[in-house]
Amino acid sequence: MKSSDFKLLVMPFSSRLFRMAYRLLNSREEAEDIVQEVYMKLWGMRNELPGYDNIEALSVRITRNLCLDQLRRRKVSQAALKNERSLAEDDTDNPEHRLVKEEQKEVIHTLIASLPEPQRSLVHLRHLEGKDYEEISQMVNMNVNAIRVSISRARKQMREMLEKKYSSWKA
Amino acid sequence: MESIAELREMLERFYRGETSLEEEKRLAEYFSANQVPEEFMPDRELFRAFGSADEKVPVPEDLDQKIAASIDRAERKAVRSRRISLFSLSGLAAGLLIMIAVYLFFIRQDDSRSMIAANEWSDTYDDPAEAYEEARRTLMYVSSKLNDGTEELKHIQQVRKTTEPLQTLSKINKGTKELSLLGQLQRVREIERQ
Repeated sequence: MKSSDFKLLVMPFSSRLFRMAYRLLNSREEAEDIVQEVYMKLWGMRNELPGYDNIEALSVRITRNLCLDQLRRRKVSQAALKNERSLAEDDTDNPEHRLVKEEQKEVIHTLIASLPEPQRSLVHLRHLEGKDYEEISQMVNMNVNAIRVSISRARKQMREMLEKKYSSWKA
Repeated sequence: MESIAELREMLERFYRGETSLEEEKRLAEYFSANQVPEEFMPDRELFRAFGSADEKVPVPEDLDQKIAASIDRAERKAVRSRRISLFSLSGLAAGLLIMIAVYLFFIRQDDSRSMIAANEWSDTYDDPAEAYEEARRTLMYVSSKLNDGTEELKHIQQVRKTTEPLQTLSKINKGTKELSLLGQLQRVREIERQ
């Protein structure tokens, strides 16, 4: 397969893979490195790719596995999250709006970062990528029932966190 | 969403992991557009957090460019290594050929010289009659083996027999040649008429 055909086949997923890697690693630099690595792996399998039914699912699976390897190499630290905040996008809105956005950003970061694996990947794929359970099953190599159970736990845990947060706001 | 009761029921299913993507979309739309009782505030925050998540992760603008550059580099590297391996393979083959040539030229030549030297022509029989008898016996042996070999070729005679009927085709050929002569005659007559 020529590089032009390869790019047409796999480049459309790059943003999604980056977001997924970012969600799992909480670091833009590492997420970018991982995505590069994913593409090099896919390039290595370029001649087998036409045999795959769902290349996006394959790409997500490789991304997730590489991220989990990376997480094993280092524990996700709160420092990475703080570091990321300082690299946040430039927001030209008024300061008050920016504050609200920062607050929301922290909420979703904290919520997802607080989840263990595989819940973190599952919540990302279901709620941020809008994938159905069948697709997620292909992407993470889990059966649909196990995914439902895991997502159910994750949702309950996130709600609990938000409930605590909301009561502290009221207090 | 018709009522709070319906919202509550759907949320219960949501937390059990039983809602479809479509239902989850409806929940998100509901929370973004409506004021809800306090008991649903954490749920609303959850859906709002999901809704704003993507814009919170801006993808680096040059991500695709960097990936494309890496792919191009990898492709060039693959082509280069293929060329190098072909080049080294042909080099190896050339080297081997040279070695074989050297071996054949020098070493075998030496060997054949030494063999010739070892087998210098010399008489092996003292009695000419005995030598003649031995030579005749050897030649007869060779002749018999040659006859054995030609025996196998007898089947070819059958092939010749089957092609014999085809010889008659040459007669047809002869007939058509004569007809072409008639054509020439015709042309001569036409010229005469003119």
